[in-house]
Amino acid sequence: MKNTAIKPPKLAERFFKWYCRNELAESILGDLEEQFYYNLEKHGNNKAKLYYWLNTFTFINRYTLRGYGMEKDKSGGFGTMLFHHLLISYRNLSRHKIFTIINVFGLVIGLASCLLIAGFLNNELSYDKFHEDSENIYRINHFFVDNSGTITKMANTAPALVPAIKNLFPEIKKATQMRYARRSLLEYGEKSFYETGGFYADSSFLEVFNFPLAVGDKHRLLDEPNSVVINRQMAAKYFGNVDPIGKTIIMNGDMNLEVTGILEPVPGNSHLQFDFLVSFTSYIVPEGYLSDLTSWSWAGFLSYVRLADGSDAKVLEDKINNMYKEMTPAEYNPDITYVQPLSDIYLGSGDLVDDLASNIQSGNTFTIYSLGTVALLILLIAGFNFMNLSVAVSATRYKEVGLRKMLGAERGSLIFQLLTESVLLGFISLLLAYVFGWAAFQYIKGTLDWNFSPDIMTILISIPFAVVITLLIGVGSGLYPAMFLSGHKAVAALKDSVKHGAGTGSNLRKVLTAVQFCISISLIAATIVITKQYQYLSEQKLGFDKENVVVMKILPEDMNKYYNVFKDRLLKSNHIVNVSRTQRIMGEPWPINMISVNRETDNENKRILGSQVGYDFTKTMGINLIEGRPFSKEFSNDATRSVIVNETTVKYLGLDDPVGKDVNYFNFDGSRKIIGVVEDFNFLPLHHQIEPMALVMPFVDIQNIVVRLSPGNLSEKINELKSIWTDVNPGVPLEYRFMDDHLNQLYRNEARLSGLIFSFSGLTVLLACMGLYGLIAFSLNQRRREMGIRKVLGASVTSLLVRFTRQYVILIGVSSLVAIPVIQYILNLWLEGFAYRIEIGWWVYVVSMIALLCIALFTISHQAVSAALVNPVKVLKDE
Amino acid sequence: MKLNLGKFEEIVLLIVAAQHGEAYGMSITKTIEKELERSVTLSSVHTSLYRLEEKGLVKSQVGGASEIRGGRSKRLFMITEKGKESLKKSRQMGEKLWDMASSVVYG
Repeated sequence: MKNTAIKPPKLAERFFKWYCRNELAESILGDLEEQFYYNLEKHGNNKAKLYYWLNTFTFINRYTLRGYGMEKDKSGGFGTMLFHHLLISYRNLSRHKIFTIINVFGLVIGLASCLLIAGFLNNELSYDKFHEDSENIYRINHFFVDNSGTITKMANTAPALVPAIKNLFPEIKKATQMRYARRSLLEYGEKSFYETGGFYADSSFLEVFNFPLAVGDKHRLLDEPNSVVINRQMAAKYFGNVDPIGKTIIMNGDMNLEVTGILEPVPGNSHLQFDFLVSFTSYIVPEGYLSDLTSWSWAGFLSYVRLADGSDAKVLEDKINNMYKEMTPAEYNPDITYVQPLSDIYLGSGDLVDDLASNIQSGNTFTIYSLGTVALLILLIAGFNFMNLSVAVSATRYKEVGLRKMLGAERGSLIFQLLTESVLLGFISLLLAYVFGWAAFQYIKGTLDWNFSPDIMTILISIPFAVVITLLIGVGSGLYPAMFLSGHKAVAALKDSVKHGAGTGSNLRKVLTAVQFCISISLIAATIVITKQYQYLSEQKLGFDKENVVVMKILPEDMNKYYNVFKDRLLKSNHIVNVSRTQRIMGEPWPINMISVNRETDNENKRILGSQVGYDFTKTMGINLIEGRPFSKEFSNDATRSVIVNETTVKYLGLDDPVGKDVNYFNFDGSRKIIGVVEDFNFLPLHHQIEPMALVMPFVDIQNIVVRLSPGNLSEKINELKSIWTDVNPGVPLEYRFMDDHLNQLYRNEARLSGLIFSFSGLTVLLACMGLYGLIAFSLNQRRREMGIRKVLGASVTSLLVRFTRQYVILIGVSSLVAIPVIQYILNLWLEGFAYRIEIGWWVYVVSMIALLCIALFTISHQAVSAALVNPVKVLKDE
Repeated sequence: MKLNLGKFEEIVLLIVAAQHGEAYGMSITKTIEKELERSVTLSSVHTSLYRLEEKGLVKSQVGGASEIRGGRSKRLFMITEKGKESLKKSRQMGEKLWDMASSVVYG
């Protein structure tokens, strides 16, 4: 009959016991077992077990489930308790509507700001990670050391380097070098555009990196001379619906390039940005250059290597450095090589110069740290608000807690209940924060120049982190009030003998409020300083006149052919004051050269920056000539034998009477005579001091025409400029920009930072005020009777107001004392990044304090006044 | 007071009455399978019993463990006065309807 060897499946039994309520479990399990043996006899082992399993599932219903239906469940399952807690939480939250709204709103703003900042930081830190084995990719940088020991750090290297090391060192799997194509004019059929996103590169470029390719064989694409690979946008721009492969694009009017492949758009988080690649073999060194592709000193190329797994970049660096040492004559300092990991390039290249001004993006670690800190501070403020208000409101819950304790609630379960409440609020806020953050992102991404947009994956990935953070905030800010409330004796709480109102937890609240004030003052001060510095930069006297100057970028070939005609035509117009041309304009990186004074005893070669400029350059730019003369057509030597330097150079070279002195400028060039000295002007961005500088006449084809217009009604004059250009050179588009716009662009990082800090400090102040408002509303409500009595005893409204507000004024004072040294230190650190910087005056802190004081007083005034005006009879009569 | 019975509930209630004091989930299930020649799951019988108990038509007590149940006690069901009332009422209504229909059904 009964087969004792076979038993019902244990797991099913355990599962059933898990969900079934205790008082039913035994009898049902008995029935199940009885049926099992019945089935075992009738249908055999397998079916019996199957039926048993099925039965355990079919039994799931409202009669059997634990915690289902409160009135039937005497043992109080977890679900019931949670439900109960949520119910009480809901009632409590809706009883204190203002506090709930302040709490939720504060947390929403806090979390949304953090989400936004996290999105931004995530993007900043994700640069260049998309390449396969990106940790094996390195850029070779080149540090140039002049005879006096000055080091110039450059992201560029000489063209002879990569061919030399490519097959020499075994750890190099692939090596590639690139040359920025600057501005080029591309034509296909009727369509012609200027493009700035071009590089000369070879096929190994696409083997070192994994830039996504839509069409083409990445191993061969750029092997043939005159090949070009374009990205999808360009394909659409030039070819529309036609298949571009095999078609010919004309570059700069004379080079025919065959399209061999199509690139997917380069990801926004790549430090290298490009639209098209031209085969490196097609690169021709421009006429007039003093170097060729075998040069070891012409730092005009970008070099990247992919190393074999597990190789040490330091070893490679040493090997290359030894190479340089062997090659360099004893009297010069050998160049230093720095092999920089790809992951470090975007954020770690702040001190590197890119001699080509190519399309390389670089980030700013200061922005990252400051935004990260601000995100933390905002969360802190929101969390403190939460904590403060919870402690304050908790005073009204003594009776509830006391009653619970009387009924046998343990402290643990009380704390759990109170935490449920704060975590619940946290999650409601998180949900809203995602919505709010998304909306805000759409709004600010344009104004802040954030060229990324989080895809659904990043958002999904962020959720677990956000949930953990929210849990932490919920528990962190709920824990103190929970401990505080649950710690009282039940009888005391019920008898109302616990000290109520302003006294409860007031020390903690004061500390938290003070911390909020500290943060607010710091951020207000930071906003003032950053904005002032930005303003200072844009108002700085530059030593030249940036107003009314138009910069036109044209092709070197066009410059050669049309410049003189164009200039003559322009000068005939009475709207145009002067015209000149230059290799580099102010604010761009200027090329580095060498200069030495012709003295037999001294063979010192010193670093100097210089540009090639046309006649009338100093006049057009409004640069003051303090000694000597400008370049002039009357002196036929000027084109090859003259140089103009700035004051700094005169001091740098130690010249007493500079005009007429001979100097060696360029290594191969022989001596030049100094014909003039100009007053120092800021040709570099204002992060840098004015450096020694030299101007010579052009000997290669250069790209910039500068035109000084007469003041007033610029658009009319621009139109005239355009029509003259079209007359001179029909069919080639004209691109121009204003010098002052260009210079403002140099400080867009600062503008962005000041905008960000401004909005976030506004938010923190708002949050702190909301907290303050809630706190005041609560504590005044608690003190209504006290005020009534004071009034009855003859206190005036004014004296009552002073009484309430005094402690907040003191608090702000104390907070300032703590905050000022800290923020002073941090701001000075930031300002050190500028050669031209403001002094932080004491007034900044006074203004911040007064501003905070005004905002705080304004916040509490409504509550305080209505409390002070209260009719004592009303508040005292229900005693 | 709602005393309406579903068809299946009526069957379960009748068996509880028939096995007075000895009815429990498995016995009822077996009876249904044997006497009515239809298969029924244990859980639907139990659910039905709990519903009847909720309506106050049956009451239960724990008792009568046996070895075949792994030594577990049964939940034994008994019909209440209210249960008896509802059975009677259900039968009356059925008969009333049968009176009207029998001439046609039996021809």
